[in-house]
Amino acid sequence: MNKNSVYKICFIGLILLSQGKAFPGEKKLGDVPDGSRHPAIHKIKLVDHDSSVIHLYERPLLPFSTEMTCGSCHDYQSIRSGWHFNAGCVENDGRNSQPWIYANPKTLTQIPLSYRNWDGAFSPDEIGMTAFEFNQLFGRHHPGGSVGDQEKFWDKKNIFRWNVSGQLEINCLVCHDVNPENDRSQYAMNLKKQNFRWATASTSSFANVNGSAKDMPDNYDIYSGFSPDDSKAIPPSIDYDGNKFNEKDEVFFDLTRNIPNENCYFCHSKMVIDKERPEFWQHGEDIHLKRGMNCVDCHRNGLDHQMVRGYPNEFRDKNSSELFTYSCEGCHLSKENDQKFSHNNNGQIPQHKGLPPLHFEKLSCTACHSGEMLTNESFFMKTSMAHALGTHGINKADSTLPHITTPVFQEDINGKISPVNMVWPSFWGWKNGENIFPMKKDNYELIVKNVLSKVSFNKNGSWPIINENIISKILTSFESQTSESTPVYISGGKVYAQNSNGLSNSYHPITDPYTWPIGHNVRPATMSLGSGGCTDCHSADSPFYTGIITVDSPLKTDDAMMVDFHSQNLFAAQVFSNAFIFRPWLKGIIYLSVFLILSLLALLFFNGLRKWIDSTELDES
Amino acid sequence: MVNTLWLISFFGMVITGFIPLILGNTALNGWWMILHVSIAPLFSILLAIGAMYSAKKMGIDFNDSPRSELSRSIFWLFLLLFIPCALSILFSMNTWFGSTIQYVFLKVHFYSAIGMLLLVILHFNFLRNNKG
Repeated sequence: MNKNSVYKICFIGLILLSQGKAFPGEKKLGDVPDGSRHPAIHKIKLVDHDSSVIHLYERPLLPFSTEMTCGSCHDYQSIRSGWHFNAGCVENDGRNSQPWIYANPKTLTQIPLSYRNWDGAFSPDEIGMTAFEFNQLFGRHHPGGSVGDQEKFWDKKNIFRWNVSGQLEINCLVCHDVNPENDRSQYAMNLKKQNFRWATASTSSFANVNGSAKDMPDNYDIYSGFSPDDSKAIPPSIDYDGNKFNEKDEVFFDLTRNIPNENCYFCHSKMVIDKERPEFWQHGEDIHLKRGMNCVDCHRNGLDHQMVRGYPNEFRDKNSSELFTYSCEGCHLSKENDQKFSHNNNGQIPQHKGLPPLHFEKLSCTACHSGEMLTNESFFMKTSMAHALGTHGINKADSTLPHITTPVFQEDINGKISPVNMVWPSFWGWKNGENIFPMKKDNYELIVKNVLSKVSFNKNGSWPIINENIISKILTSFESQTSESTPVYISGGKVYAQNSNGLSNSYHPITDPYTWPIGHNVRPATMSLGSGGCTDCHSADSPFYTGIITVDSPLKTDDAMMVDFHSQNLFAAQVFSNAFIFRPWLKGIIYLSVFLILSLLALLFFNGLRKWIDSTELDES
Repeated sequence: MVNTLWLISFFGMVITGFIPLILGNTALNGWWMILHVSIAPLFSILLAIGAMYSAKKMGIDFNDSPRSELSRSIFWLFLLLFIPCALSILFSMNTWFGSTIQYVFLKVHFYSAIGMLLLVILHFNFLRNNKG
């Protein structure tokens, strides 16, 4: 063995040691808290994805890798198992949450997607969307990891593109960087350009990314630095601000463990479209945040980044009784539930004066306390994840797709009525017997766009105005693709199919809207449902029962009613509501009866007393 | 006549109050609740009127009564139990008490209603034995 080989082995050994791969299971330097509440100062060397420390004089300059840079002191493998990074990798995904929504008015589609096993969501594979496309499209509001850095999700079709774009590692900075110069919208822009490897670095205050991996050929090599064939194309590259590097080639990251709410808001903002409240300042914020709490006070996590989601059944799903204390009930009714706290967020104990206990069995806490105040008609809502809020070049119109309806009251798996957000799927599919499955997007996009070429599209990004004839035409165009299945269009809770009599429609469970529970914003007690009295719900025209829910579709559809979703009998509810008119009479009659009977009992008592006194007097005489 | 009517309404209350619980519901709601609440004022006022009619017969003045002591005791105990049974539910319909007390009220209503039912069963059992 020559001297060079020994050096090489020692060097590799050191790298493995520094990444903790030599002794898996050993906790890394940054993962063992010493008890100090002072934030750790992150003045560190940048390491690229080849495990080389980045020096400004080296060429080509590569973007830093979070796996290698942050992973030097933190267990990246443990972190990647966390909630934000484990879609498609866990058996129990818990209750439904917000899906990714693939929406395009030009193809009349709006379909909820997720790699998680959530009821009503489709896997991106089902519509022919590769992991590569998924990252390019939705990675803008995803903190990396998951399908972005796990090769098992990658399709062969894009294998060369992955080599050019690189992996989409966990973007630690999106949550932990509190430097006001961190530009998260750069991340979205670079993903569009397929600059996956550069995306995280592009957000940092000391790096600038240029060029586009998208313009590079499949055989482009980031190391060789050869110019691509197309002279106009600029290869992806990174410049670091030399002033931010010290003499040891270290840079300062302004990182925090206590994530500020603003960082969460980049992906978790929402905006309700209410014509009566057109200004942004007219919309409220969660009462917990207004009272000084942070998102991470409840949504906590350890090194494994398994965020506490805080929903009622989470402690059962994860078999951890402690998680109950992070639910509404666990925090606010801790004494009733005999909970021992491992944290000091012991919430106010609600009085619920005059609220019959039946309500706790039939309604979730969020039914009265979360989401928008009930009005006669549900709202549309825009969210960061669905509408790319906070990124450049988006359509800011109120009615831009996807259309998310809120709030809708629906019975949950615990049999309680809870408020949910709702999205009605609209997509092209194949029907084979009783089974319906979505078409691959490459199979329908061109055809639909061709048929719709003469249709005028709204600038607001909403559905175009179409009629059933157009759907018929499109379905007819699909017929030549296969003889085994019938082409169908799913929209507004119906399955549209072309037959000899024209376009027919029917119901199928696949047409049901995708719903996910509303957790936030939590409203204060004075703004809760019922704060105006029983008639907030128990009146004949209460939106709790008769609120109008828009059945969203490019085709004309009838609206639905709130009661359709919460398994209640509307007639019984309205009879009960009308009974509230007679409630004062009812109470008056029973009070009168009680008074009369109490009088009789008092008379009996005094007669008995008199009798007893008389008898004792007689005895004495 | 009044006694017959209140007895019918009492059984109406028993059926609408206990049957849903026997059927597995954890609480009264829906049509059962509507029926229960609709019969309640009728039952209570008939009970009050019936009680006034029968008070003398049942020895309110502690003079000699045609009824046995057991029968009288059942009558007055029944009226006594009516008070917590009615007041517990009346109070729960106001915004005076929080949920902890509301749960207590429900229990008071439930157990006093069971007590009233047992007294009525005892009364009929006593009548049958006397006839026998």
